[in-house]
Amino acid sequence: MLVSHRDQPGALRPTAGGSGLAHRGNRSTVNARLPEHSNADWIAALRGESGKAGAMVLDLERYLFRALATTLRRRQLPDEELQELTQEAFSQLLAHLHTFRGDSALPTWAVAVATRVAFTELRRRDARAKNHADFERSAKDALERSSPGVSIAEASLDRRAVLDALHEAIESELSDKQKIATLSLLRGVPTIEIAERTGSNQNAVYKLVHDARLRLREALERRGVTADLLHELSAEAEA
Amino acid sequence: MNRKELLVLLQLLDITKEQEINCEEFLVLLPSYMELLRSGRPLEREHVAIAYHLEICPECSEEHEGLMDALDEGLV
Repeated sequence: MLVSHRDQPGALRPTAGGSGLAHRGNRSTVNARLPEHSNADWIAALRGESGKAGAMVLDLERYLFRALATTLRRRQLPDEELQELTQEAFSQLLAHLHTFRGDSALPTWAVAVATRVAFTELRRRDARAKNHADFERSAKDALERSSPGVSIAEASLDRRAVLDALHEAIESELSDKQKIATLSLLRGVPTIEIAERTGSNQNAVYKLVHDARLRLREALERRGVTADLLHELSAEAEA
Repeated sequence: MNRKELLVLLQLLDITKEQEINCEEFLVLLPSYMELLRSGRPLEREHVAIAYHLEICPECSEEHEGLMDALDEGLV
């Protein structure tokens, strides 16, 4: 589980010449080309065990900055924020270097991890900027018992019956935590926000909601909703 | 839950499987998946779970989209 370095007091900070992007260019001037090294050389450099560590670490930081400028392009972030996220991501890379499996080039792994760290941090900031209102509203709505009058306008009798059955199953089969997490995710509340607001972690939130989905499927089956019917109605809803 | 949310949930239930990878496991598989895409070599069996997880998880899907942009630009 990748978490902010603020959550990990013992996590390593960038070393060996890193942390200097702010003075070395912006996304249009930083060269993304990365010299080729073996994974063993990268690992030695990131552990500060190589004589070339300083230059290699700086190369990797610059490369990550350029890569994040692309993977986060749709967020339209200023260079300063991008630099900050690169530093955060780099810090996490060092802290999680032991999890690198070696089934890809290390820079590929680094970009994937950096992208995860950066998006997670941005989602956390988004939630904070909204004063956690989306989660609070979802949590409140999830625990309010509502009548199943949702399906009045359904043209299809099958769909009306299934939506009613689903509504009932949510009420009777799910725990409060499952209701809150499921509705929050449906409303686009970030997993990190749900985890932090419920004193949990992202893997546990995923499992909670996965278990909820399995339980709802079983409940629908018991109410006569076959997998084929579910698929048919799902396709209708998609259309 | 309102009608729209129930319909989305219905779609998620349709594709729910007993065994799913979570977001952390997705991230573990992602680097080798990206390199196979870049090289044009066939994906391995374990990578099937990636495509499925992308249908379930909008957050991993958002990250994947960004990484595909980086792949297109030759950054990974």
